[in-house]
Amino acid sequence: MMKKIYISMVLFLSLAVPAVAAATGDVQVQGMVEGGVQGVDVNSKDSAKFQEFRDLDDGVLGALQLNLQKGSYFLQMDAVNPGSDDQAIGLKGGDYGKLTYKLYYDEMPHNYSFNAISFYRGIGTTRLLAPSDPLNDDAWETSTDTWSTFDYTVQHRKYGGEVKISLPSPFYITVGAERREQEGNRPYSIRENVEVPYPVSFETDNLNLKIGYLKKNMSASLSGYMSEFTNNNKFLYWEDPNPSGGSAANIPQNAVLDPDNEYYKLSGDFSWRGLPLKSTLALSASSATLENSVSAGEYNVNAATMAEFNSLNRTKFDGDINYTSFSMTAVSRPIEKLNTRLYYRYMEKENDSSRISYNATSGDNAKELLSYEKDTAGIEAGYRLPFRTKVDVGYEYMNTDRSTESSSYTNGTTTFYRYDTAESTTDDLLFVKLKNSYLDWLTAKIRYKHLERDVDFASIYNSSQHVTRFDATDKSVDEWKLGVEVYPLDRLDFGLEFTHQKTDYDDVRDSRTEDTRKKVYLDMAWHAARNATISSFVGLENVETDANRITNLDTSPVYAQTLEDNFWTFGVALNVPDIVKNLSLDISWQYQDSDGEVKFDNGLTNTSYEDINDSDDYTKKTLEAKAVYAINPNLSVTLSYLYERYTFSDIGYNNYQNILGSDYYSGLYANQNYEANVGYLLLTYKL
Amino acid sequence: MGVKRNSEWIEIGSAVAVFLSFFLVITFSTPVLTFGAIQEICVECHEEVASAFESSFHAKAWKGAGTSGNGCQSCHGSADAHKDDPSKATIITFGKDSMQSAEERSARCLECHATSSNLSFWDIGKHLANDVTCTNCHSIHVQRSTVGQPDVCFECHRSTKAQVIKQSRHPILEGKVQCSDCHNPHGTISESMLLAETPNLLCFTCHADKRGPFIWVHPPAEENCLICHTPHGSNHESLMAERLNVLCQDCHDDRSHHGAAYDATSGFGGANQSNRFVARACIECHHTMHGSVNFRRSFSR
Repeated sequence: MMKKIYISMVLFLSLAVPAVAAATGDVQVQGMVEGGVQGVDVNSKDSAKFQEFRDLDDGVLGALQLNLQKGSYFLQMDAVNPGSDDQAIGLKGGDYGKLTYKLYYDEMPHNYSFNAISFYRGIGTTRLLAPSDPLNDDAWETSTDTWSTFDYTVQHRKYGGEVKISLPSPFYITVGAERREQEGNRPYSIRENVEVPYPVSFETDNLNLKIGYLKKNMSASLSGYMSEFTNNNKFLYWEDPNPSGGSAANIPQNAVLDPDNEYYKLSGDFSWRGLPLKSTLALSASSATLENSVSAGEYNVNAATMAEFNSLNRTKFDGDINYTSFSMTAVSRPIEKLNTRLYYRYMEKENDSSRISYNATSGDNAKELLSYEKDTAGIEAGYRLPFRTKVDVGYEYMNTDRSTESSSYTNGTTTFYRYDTAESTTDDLLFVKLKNSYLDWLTAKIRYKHLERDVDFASIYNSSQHVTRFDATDKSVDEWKLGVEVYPLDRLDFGLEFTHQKTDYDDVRDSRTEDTRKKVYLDMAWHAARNATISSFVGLENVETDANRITNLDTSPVYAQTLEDNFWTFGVALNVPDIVKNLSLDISWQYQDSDGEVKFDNGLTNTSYEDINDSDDYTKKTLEAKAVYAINPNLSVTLSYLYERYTFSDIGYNNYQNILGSDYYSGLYANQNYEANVGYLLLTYKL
Repeated sequence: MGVKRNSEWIEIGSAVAVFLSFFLVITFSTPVLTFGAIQEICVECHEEVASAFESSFHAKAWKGAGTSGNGCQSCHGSADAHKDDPSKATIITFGKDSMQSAEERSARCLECHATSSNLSFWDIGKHLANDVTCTNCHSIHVQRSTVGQPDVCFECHRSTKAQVIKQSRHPILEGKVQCSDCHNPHGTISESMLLAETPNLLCFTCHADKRGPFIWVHPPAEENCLICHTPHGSNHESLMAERLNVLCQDCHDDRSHHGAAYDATSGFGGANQSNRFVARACIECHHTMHGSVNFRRSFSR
């Protein structure tokens, strides 16, 4: 694949470069090429977290940047980490006012977890076979010594191009094509508590076309977008190592994987500046369809693999979801110091997909095929007061209607009502904001926001649904936000941001009852002598969520639960361009700490639950140092060092076991801690 | 861990070859140009800035278009008064201490860039409404016109700066996802300056496997990814907005094991193995929470 990409780019360059060279005028060249060696030392049982989105390995590294300009033509090329798993290559060029184009290739690993283990044979394929234990025919291999080792990792690739052509003014056209690929294994489970890799082989092809009209006071465009997603693996065949009854009969089953789909969208945008009252009007509308067709046979689901197969009302599913949207915004300045904004947004999602009935008594999936309509309207006004003070006020109304095509269904003596009538939530949002920048060295902002959400369900709690849906219940939110920018000295900047948000879930019998979030961020930059810069950043976050929980359809809460997450980070960086002649230095240190706990109130029913003290706790320390020595104006050498240390702790991973009763865990995320040292030496030549 | 494979050396070699092809072409070029529109009047005091501007993207664009504009005064306005009174009050400036309003400064840029398709919705965007102007993000004297994401965005969006470094995040720091992949800083008609009508339709651009349509769906996932996920970064795995089992229980907290108190005794080493709360908790069983085309009912979501 990479060779094809490179060949394509070389061919492209063979056309683009002569075009630039043939243009009239002198050529300007700027650029940079660099190369070097890198050494990596990682101390970890599973270094995936360290390399989550990057390819840090022993070997060579390099980069290339080139800007070419001749007359009205320009060409830019960038290559970062060529040859590695996280390389990116891009070309961009064109003829000013007439044509721009770009080509790109970008890839990246997503490393979830390394050195996982499984008793299954066929890891990474769509057939997972469970060999029986040679010592016990009624069990699978219980000795982890003989299990296979594998990595949960997915390689992402994205490549494509786009051309924008300015037709005889004022029209333009943009055409783009892109492919995205994913290959590898990602975490999945089959049955209950059996961790296996999901064999990922995805392809997404995107095509976009836009035709536009562009004048200084008016623009209009019509766009088309097509996206086709293909999963080359339709299902995962697996043998159940421990089916009911304890017999290692290796009963084969299929786990269905994500389906193919096709998405088409047609949209139009329009904006008109210079209207009366110094107004601008913007309109946008779109219509989109998402569809697929899935047959049971395609997923190898049949009477042999599924006992209930003959009860299905149909063995083919036709997915059909339609999106319709319309948006309008008008901004005006009716008088000199007053700015206004009026807006309306409409969004409809209509799910007309097939109804699949599992059997005669359990109903069908129509209760699940969610459709909704959202209407949002708002008005905002900003007025500039004396002393460089600005006040903004605004109100927004949003209504969401949710529905399905199904009215109700009966199972035995129970009638189930899921979205039997249009369930709606109504939001009323009000905000006031005040900003002052009267002093040259100080800008201060304060904002208050209040949200009131009302629902029209007959009852928030519906015992037949087994859900309460915290996001669709009555609630009120109060939020204060304060921001200050201070420049006390010519070379000293401070910034402060503080947010306090409290959410009350009114009338909630159980589920989330209250949510309080406090956040403080502070940054500073001091541009000291000799162009040195010292900067720092501090962040503090506290989230506390209270809930009442019930079990087994109790009529009153059995226990109360409080989740608390505390996060804080501190970073400092020093940049000295000329610490000694021709030598610049960058040093940075960053620390972050997340400390979570789940507390239980045992007073409600005299239960005795134990608090969780390790709730996604982690710390991360990062030290970076880089020295650049300029041998001459064109040539420099860089020596860099990176240190990272990460520790993670959570109750769910304490005393980790691969086998727990009849369940199997592959070691996913169990050993994320790492300590790493990275050093590299680079030679850079600037054109 | 290990030394790069030989095939990768071939790829690196071909990348160098691409560079050399450029080098051969440009060998025949004359690399020095002088941008003649820098008025001598400006150079007298601003020599360093004027010199840097000559190699800037802006200067080259003007030169390429066969015009020099009006040099510095194209953007900074007439220098006549400034010559006699060299204060910021007599010239248009674009820094933090500018005497002009954000709207006035943007208007200077729009005199040329109003016909850019990227700026069709600039007037209705949140940035203009909050006094953010073009030069808050763009440096007009630099060689390239690119904006240094995400650092430029973080100068104002401090909470996002704190979120993107968390243990669960998008690859923003690696540059593989940029702010502008999801948001259009030049203004959109959608909420939060998103590049799509809804958060879900935006997320599906990369996560096309989550699009469906599915036989069995999870209503929150169908309506809004942000009910469960926080996109910029999280203390919790998979960008979850909360500790996973607590988040699930905020909707599913009655009947059977849904509402069970998963306390400190429920883990691997705990006593409560019937209500297991280990590793990835709920999704160790309910693994298709985004939806599935399973023709069976059980564990379909």
